[in-house]
Amino acid sequence: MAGGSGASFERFVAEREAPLLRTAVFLAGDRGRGEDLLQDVLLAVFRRWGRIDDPEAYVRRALVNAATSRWRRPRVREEPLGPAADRGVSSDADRLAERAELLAALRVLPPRQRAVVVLRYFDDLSEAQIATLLACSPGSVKTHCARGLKRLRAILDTGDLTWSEGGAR
Amino acid sequence: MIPAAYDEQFDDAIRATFTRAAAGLRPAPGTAERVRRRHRRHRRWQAAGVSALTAAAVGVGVLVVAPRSNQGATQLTPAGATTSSPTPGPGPALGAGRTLGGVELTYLPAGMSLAGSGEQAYGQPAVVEYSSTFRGPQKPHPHELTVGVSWGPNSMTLDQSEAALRKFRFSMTPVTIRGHSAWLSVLPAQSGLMLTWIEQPGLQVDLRLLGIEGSGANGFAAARDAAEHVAAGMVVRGRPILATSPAEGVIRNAFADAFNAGVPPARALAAIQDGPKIGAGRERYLERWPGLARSRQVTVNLVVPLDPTHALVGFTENFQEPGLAAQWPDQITTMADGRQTLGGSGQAVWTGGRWKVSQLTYCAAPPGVCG
Repeated sequence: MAGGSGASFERFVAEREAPLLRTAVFLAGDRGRGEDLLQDVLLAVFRRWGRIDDPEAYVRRALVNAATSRWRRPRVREEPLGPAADRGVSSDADRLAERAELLAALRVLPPRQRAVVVLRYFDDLSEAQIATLLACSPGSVKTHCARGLKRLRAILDTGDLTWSEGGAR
Repeated sequence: MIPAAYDEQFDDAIRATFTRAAAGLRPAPGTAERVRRRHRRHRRWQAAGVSALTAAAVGVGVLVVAPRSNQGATQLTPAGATTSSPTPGPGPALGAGRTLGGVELTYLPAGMSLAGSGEQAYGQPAVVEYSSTFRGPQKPHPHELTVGVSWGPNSMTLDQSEAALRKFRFSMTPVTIRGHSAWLSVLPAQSGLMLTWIEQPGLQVDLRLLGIEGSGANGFAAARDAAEHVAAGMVVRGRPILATSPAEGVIRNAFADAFNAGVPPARALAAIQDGPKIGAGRERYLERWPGLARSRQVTVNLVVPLDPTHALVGFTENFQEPGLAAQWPDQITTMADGRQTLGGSGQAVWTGGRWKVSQLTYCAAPPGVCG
């Protein structure tokens, strides 16, 4: 969808907001920050609406740039999970708990590794597309992907948020 | 080298995990309209020739509420205003997040709204920190203001805070805030600033403003001015009375079972959320650090219920394992007697029919213990 009238901005948001929000939440590693990130980027899109040929690509690029450049605070606050799965509660609680676990694991990754993993395994972009978004070589994308995935797998397998290659072992 | 087939299985598994985690993530209605409203507000500020931060100084679009005078707080008057100063007394109800830990924020820069709030407990003696974060609409980086109110022992000193801040290698300058000695810390590239002071015995306040990179010298000065206005507008009502948890004794026992040396592994793992999943890693870690395995004792300093299935827990671990202190110097302190201590803030969760230490809490104290 190309940029154009105000009505088409409404249509763009109505049609694409949900998947873009999901990407933003994974890139930010946190629902609240993801929502803020997306709204900031949509504001920038709105201001340039008539001049943007491919709003979705613009939003995705802006989300990645913003998510990989934010200063991270030294202290991370633990977020409560949903009701415990083994109390026999609904699958919604299981999904919330899994999402919280995934977001906590994603937050541990350095920003560019996190961005590559999200764009590759959630947005299903190719290495070439990711390289364009991140303004780096496909080789760098491959490296970030391999390292990010290795770390993500170790964290999700062990629950150790401090796992790193060559770390405390 | 992990076989390629196993890699493919994990690739599929992580994709499926993302898909499941994304289900149910839905945007709130009205996004396009909210975007338009923010754009219109920005245009009004541009027309007025001021930014949201300097609006505080010239009284444009800012509601100023006078703090009560009995706390010795500075009365806040917009610079250059021709109207009379606000009179002390009850003001309009404060917005979300503006009352935290018994402290009221009677002033915020225009356009800032609550982005999040929370609390944590740590240390021995216990310190409970309450914080609220507010965000503004500025571009290219939204300004983010976080106010932290920490209640602890009356013996807390600014020197202790200074020592903690210097670990981050910020540029630090002594200043005076509300008549108290304070530190102004400036983050790299002037991307943010923080004010830290002891407001009264047992009460430390941290006020942090981020997102100001690229605003230049004038922008930084305006940011500092805004932060000092927020500080000036604080009103201290008093230390909050903490709710006690009827499950406090049970939670203390769970922490003791999970952390203390000498507890049989099965009982320790039963006291940790999803304990069996971390059993093997925990065993390897304790074999590697026998001093920790032999000597660790935990003290629960504080239990604060959050909801029926979660409680905030402040705790301290003591053990004899110097190698760990060398590995994690920021988290583990060596005392004068040669023993190590680690202060933690985490959660207890109700799961499997009992209170347990949350896995995230256990696996972070010390880092790597589950691996």
